[in-house]
Amino acid sequence: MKNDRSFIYDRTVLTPFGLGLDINIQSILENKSTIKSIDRNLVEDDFPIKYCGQVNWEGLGLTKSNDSLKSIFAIRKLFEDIPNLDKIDRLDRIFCLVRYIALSDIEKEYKESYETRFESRLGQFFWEELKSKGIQFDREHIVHIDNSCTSGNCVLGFAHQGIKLGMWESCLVVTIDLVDYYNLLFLNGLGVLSNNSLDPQAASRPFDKNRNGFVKSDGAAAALVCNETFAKRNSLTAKPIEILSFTQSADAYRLTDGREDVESIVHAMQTALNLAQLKPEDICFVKAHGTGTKLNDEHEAKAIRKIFSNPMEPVPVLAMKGHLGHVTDASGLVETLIAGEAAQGGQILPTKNCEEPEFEIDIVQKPRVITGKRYFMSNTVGFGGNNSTLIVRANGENQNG
Amino acid sequence: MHILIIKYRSFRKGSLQKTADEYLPTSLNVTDYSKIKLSVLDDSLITCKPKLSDNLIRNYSRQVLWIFEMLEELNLKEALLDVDSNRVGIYFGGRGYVTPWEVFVARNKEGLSRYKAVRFNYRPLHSLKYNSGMTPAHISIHYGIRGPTNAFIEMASSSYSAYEKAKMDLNLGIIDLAVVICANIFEEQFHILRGRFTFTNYSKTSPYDIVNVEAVSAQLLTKENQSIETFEEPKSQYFGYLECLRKDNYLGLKFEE
Repeated sequence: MKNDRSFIYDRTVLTPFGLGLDINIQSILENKSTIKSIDRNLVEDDFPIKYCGQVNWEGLGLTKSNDSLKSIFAIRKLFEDIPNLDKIDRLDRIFCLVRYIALSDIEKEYKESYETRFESRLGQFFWEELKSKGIQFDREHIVHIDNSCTSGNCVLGFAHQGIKLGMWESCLVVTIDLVDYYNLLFLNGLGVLSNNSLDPQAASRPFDKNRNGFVKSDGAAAALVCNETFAKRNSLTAKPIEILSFTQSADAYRLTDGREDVESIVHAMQTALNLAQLKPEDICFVKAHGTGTKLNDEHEAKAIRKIFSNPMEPVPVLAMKGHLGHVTDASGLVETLIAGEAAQGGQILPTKNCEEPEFEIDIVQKPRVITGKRYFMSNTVGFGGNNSTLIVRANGENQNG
Repeated sequence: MHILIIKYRSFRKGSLQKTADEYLPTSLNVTDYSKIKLSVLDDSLITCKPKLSDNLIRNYSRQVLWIFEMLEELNLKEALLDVDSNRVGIYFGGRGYVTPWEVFVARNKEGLSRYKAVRFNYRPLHSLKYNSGMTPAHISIHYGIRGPTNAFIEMASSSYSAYEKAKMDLNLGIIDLAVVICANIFEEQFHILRGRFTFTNYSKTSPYDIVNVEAVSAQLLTKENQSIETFEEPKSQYFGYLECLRKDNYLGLKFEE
């Protein structure tokens, strides 16, 4: 095993707040929320869900008639926001998660949007887009992962693991999950969407006593993950965020809720700490999954308390879904990049709408300043009992000086 | 370090020849789908059902049932006896899907005016079926496997990615045993349309030359120095597996009525 270190260099996100990390961090610091009334063109008039977070596509330049091209348009925007993509000589691999739902209204929709939403077409699009930027590939390496809510962390984790093993030097990691009629329909069928709040801004309430579900939201993110050799060869200048470890575990219990004893979440978190050779007290904050559903928050809070058990030094916990809504599959990457960028600037971002915290954990209510080492933990707890944990270091140093 | 395939099993035998028009709605007036040939697995050969409860059989899809059938033949339960369940991973190459009927029932459940009729029996777990990650999750729940569970959907290369990730986790020392499963089961109409779209624009092959075949396969992988006594079959090398896969699934395509 080569044991190379892996770094996230260029990175960007697209949320309803806008394109880029700065605008997202600024909006979160101003305590804004992306959640608004749902566009009624997306669903039937009597559809029970009232809120979601949607990107202003027209504001970004996408015309209404090209609505079905949202995914491709979003990816193009992300690639434009990675300035060094033109500089890169070659890429070893692309890890992607582009949410795909098997459309079932075959007669209505197959002509309109089927082809553009089909994942291998998007793979083809990746190729063409990257080739137009002069990036070379040795062989086809587009890996499409679908691990429910943990996918965002997984794409980053797999990129890290391959670099560690010396299997590749560089990866482009892309996740995108957009609000979709079928997604809303099925998630509401499970009863996990929030629907009883009168104020859309207060609908998503992670770790709050009055939480009753999450709000689906648009989101996408892209990041360039590579080792030091690759960064030096391509003169990458962004301040890197280092991925220290990645672990996964499964509850093996039920598809929609985890075990009461939270053993598998604890196992993922503890193994990640062990692999990174860190102790709980080294972690300056935890970026929790914090969906705002009854069980998910309860189990995650329990697991955090088990790992960070010293009552004198509670770990600060932040959850972004009050601001961003739940980007489901893309949430891991979107939130890790935003939290990492804020940590680079020495800040821990606040949690929105947690007015009456239900659990005895230290929820970050207002922005805080990081004083010690900038190691943080990013958790995702997904459907199917999937859990994953990333340990990340945002030290603010540029490896190339 | 060598990775060993300690057991493998694949199903293609017992398949029936069908044409795509049996799966597609007649109102879809585009192409003559009767020219597109399909080979589907014969469900009457599934023998694992008596081992499952009625509730599980109702909730499991054909894909999951066929995978269980294979894993039962591999005697996975016995193999898991000697291994820490936290150090076993599941790697699935294949798709998730929902059928048009399930979409109709979901809309009916929401009480949407266009779909109001008699209330159908709605099973919330069907809501998650579009996510291909639910298939390895079902397996993890059934066998109590608590290591990494991953799903890859990349058309024909899904199985390769699943296999490669299993190999990575074994080499990283994260797991001791990997269950690699690949499946191609027709559950909804887009699967067949997908083949047509894919093979027309970008490849030289006409859609009528391709025979879309239902198949499932599973392998148990471990490291060379790992000793698992429960396995009685001789161990074969990775390259042996690839050759075998090619012979079984690609070159020997023949329909069996």
